[in-house]
Amino acid sequence: MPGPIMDHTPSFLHDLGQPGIVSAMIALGAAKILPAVSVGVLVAVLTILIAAAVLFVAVADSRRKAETVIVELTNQFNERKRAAEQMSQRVAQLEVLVAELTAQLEAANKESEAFSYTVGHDLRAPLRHISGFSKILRDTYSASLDTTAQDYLRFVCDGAKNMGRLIDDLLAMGRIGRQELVPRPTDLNLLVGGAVANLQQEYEGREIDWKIGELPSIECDSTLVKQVFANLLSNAVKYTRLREKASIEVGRVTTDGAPTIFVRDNGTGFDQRYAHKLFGVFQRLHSAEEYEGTGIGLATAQRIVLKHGGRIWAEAEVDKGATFFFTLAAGCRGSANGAKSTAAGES
Amino acid sequence: MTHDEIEILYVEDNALDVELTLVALNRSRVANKVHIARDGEEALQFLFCRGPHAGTPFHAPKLVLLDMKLPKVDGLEVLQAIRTDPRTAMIPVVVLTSSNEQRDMLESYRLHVNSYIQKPVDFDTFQQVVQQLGMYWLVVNQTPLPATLPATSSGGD
Repeated sequence: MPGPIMDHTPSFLHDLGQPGIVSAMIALGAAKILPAVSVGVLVAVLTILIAAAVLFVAVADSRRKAETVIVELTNQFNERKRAAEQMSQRVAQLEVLVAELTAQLEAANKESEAFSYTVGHDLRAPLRHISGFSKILRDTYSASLDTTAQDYLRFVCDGAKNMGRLIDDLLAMGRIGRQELVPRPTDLNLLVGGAVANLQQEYEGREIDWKIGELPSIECDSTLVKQVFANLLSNAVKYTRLREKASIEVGRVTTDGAPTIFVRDNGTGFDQRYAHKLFGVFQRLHSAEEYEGTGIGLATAQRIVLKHGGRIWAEAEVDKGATFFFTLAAGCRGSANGAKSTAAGES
Repeated sequence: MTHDEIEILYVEDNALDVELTLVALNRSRVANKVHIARDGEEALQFLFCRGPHAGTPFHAPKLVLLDMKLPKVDGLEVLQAIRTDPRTAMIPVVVLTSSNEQRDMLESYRLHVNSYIQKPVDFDTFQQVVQQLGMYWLVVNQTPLPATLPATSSGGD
């Protein structure tokens, strides 16, 4: 039977004749180098490397071989160490890159914030002056202006007003881009109710048949999603203006297994061939004379939906109304308290 | 119009904005009691009787209309100075500005602004806003009498 290992340990370490290797291994992070000695003959070298978390067991039948084994182990360990060093170097490089990109992104965000601050503050001022003084001219000096001059002044006023609205809408959209989502459990029916109530002024005196179905409760940024409903419903109200009896419906369907919300109206609709243009900034399918608007509402809605990881699309036919669909991502868990409905067709 | 008749201190650097606001105030019949300060420093000099106003007795206007973006001392700094001095701390301050930036709004409310209004581009709307402001802060609203304000150090007299 072999004697206790530790009895021979000191003599092995010294007798090895290569103390440099041993100390090198210890310096490299080997926690322990234990010789296994049986009856005065080294039979194995146990090397426990902390850094690599690997236990090497080298079996040797002589001291000479043990030396070779130790050299081999050292080489192996060095290789591993080099690889680990390279890896951590790469990680460090990546970290630097990430930090750089983050800084760039932050700078870009700051710049865009500063830009919108300037646009919001400095561009609105001259507009206010244009609008203000042309209005004062019309109010106070109308006696010395003929009707054409008065009309022209009105155009100046209207132009300034429009540009003010454009700036506001663009700024609002820019803000959405920079804004962090604040998801919380949201009852979509409440959002729709609020959005409809806010629209009241826009449909005063008109007959609208509102059909608001059971909508799910989902996790989403309620302020932003309410904006989506506000924009879609405002469009629905606007484009059903010529209908004697307007009908606006909000409901849910399932598309590709995902809960999908739709807003449908029986208004003017549009040519489906141009559907892809609907969501572009400043893109409009109707002239400003026919239907007022800045062409930012749907772009904003799309931005919000995309931010939620969802998608938005529309189906329509000229004079037969339009239906807008949107989903709010797989991440937005929904509790299905909604009534089951089938896929949408044109009503 | 003497210092102690001033009802509104209007702090605004843009001459055209001043003109428009005066027209709007005029139509609301309060224009004769407005003092215009063209930057934050002028506003503080007026309020705290310094510089060109040194020697005039302290008098608190009923309302300060304050723009945000001002040369030298900006709107938030003026607001802070007003809120810090016990003589002026309770004067209603309404921010009237082009900006609807959240951080301006947050900072203003943190400094206890009484109201924050973004100047509407449309003049009719602007006119209505100014009229409501004048009506509310000069007629409807009540502020404590100067005698009930906490006693402080000299008013520069």
